Amino acid sequence: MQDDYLIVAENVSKWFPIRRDLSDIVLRRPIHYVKAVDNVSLKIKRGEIFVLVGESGCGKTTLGKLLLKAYELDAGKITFEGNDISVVKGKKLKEFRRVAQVIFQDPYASLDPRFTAWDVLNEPLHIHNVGSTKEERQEIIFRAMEDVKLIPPEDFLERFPHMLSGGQRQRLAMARTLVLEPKFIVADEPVSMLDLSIRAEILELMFSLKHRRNITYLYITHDLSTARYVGDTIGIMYLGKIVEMGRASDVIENPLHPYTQALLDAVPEPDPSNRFKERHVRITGEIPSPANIPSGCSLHPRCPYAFTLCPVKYPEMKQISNGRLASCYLYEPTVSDVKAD
Amino acid sequence: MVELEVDNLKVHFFTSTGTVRAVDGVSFSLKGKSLGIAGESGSGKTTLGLALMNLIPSPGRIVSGSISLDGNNILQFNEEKYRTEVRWRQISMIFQGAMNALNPVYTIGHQLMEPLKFHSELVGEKARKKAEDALREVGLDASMMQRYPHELSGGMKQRVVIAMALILRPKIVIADEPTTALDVIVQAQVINLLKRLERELGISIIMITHDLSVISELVDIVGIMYAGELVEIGPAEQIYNNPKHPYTQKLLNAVPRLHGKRTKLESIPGIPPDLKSPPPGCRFHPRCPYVMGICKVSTPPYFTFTDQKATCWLYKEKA
Ligand SMILES: Nc1ncnc2c1ncn2[C@@H]1O[C@H](COP(=O)(O)OP(=O)(O)OP(=O)(O)O)[C@@H](O)[C@H]1O
Ligand SMILES: Nc1ncnc2c1ncn2[C@@H]1O[C@H](COP(=O)(O)OP(=O)(O)O)[C@@H](O)[C@H]1O
Ligand SMILES: [Mg+2]
Ligand SMILES: [Mg+2]
Repeated sequence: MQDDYLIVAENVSKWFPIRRDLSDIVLRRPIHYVKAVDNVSLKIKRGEIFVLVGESGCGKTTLGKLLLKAYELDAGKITFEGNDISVVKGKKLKEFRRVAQVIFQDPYASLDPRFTAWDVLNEPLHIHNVGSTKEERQEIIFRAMEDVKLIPPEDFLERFPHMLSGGQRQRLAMARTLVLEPKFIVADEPVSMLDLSIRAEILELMFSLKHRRNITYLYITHDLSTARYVGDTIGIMYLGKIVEMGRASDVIENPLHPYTQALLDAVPEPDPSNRFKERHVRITGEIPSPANIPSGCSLHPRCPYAFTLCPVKYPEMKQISNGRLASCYLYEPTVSDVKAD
Repeated sequence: MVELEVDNLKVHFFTSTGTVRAVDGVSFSLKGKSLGIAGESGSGKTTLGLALMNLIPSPGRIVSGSISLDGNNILQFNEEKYRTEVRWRQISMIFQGAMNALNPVYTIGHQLMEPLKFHSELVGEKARKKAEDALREVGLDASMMQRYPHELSGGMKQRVVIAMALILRPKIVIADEPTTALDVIVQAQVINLLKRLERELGISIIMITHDLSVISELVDIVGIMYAGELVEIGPAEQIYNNPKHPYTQKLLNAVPRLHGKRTKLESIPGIPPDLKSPPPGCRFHPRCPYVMGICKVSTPPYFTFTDQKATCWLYKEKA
């Protein structure tokens, strides 16, 4: 049922024009684009954590920003609770801005150094006109601080960001989203700058908020091991496209797309017996520049399967088995018989 | 095979606001194996590496201890002797973040030959040949010499800085977070390369990283640093399967795994101490679940278990 989904994105694209210099303009060279997000569709269920995994530059942040209407779409459509977000205006838009929030990767850069914890948490209330009295606001702020375990709140209210540890800063950033009673949070690599010993507490916090406040997350990461811990659904992104989607455990245990398989081949694990063998990663080379994406299936120059059709035509995303989606000709018998030379 | 011995090494930074005890009494020895140094941000890993290269920047200084290569305390060498006989020649280093610090205005070749500049016999054609050999060893073509950093991918840049560390054929290569800035597939390629170099050139690698998964892919011996101290060290199998120090145990429980049971990840309450005023006794005691009276007042020595050792009072009885 459509109602089970909080957010539905259909064939969305965001292409950034590459800056041209004067000679390009004089010579009327065509405009080139970075296809940061290219014809992506996804659905996020209410109360789930959807994990978007991919290498740097593949378009994760851009897709997250599209879902928050931080960028205008170049193509496609996004609905939030059934409403098309590209046309919402006025009061409805303000409401969307309140319930759809973001947490960034860098807890050091995302907080204004001149703001105390109180200021950080009070500002969104002020902007969105939440709470009519100071007491009311204090109650909301204290509740958020307790939710993220900045306790007792009195100890933290007067502190500036530099007086907080990295983990505490990230928790303050989470509290800042909570004061507005959000329904949807884009968490863009929220733990990648934090030390191992404090990562788990942030992930744990996300889980508990998902349950207690029924928050839906888009969790962006390049790390498949954490994706497995936090994710209900995983989407694997390569050069602006989602190439595989499915239940987190299915994707990790039984990857369908050659790119997902290669990513999984490469993930290091804390097991010292690994040092006696070399890792065999099924694809070779490095990710090409997003300004220069190969034709057809963009993985084809690196792919061990590469059929004749792969450089010619992009394989549409198809349901391969129950709840498993992938865009690869490996799963189309008529195509996968014909091998490129 | 060269033997490296570090004994009670202390490196402090004398800043205007106090003394940062970045490396505070570290001892270990290494012969013909590779070593991993793991620890969280600020625990002193890079400082330890720089000390081995005798490159501690001011306001820092090696305040005590010794670093010996085959029995010679190299800390007693003057800079001239260190430069011509030790640095890059016997011990070299792949610096943290170096791949992103390559100078955009110079060719790769120019920068690659940097370690040769104090070796007057290695100039011109000879120097170029050395650089090309080093490039080939890391899987790059000699034509790379004429290229500029912006023309290279992340993986290629990392190979260049590895080649730089290999150029004088050192016996020990310190690799400080050599894969941290790389995506996972390129990371695997670089780890494979380091393995191959270790095997084919017979070098010992000292790998420094905050990532306990990456380190287990490469090294034979693992040392765990916490707040300037090496709190545990031993064979990789022992450290991963039978860690002794509570910090090592807790840290391993925080590592997410790709396969196997999805056990709950643990975190360690609190944060590492400020190295200007570390807590008395065991530096981990404020975060330790097993803290006892003695931990708060007295610094634990190493307690030894065959070839593994850990600084924790829990093992006092058993010792
Ligand atoms: N030049 C310096 N001046 C003053 N203090 C310094 C200097 N360099 C390092 N320190 C301090 O020494 C301690 C250890 O730093 P070091 O860079 O060795 O840590 P690290 O373990 O390599 O951390 P990371 O994982 O973040 O690279 C830290 O408290 C750091 O702030
Ligand atoms: N505002 C922007 N203007 C131009 N190009 C951009 C912009 N934001 C991102 N890009 C480009 O789009 C691609 C995808 O970037 P991003 O979404 O940040 O990837 P990721 O978050 O997966 O690392 C990259 O090539 C990036 O340089
Ligand atoms: Mg990003
Ligand atoms: Mg460092």
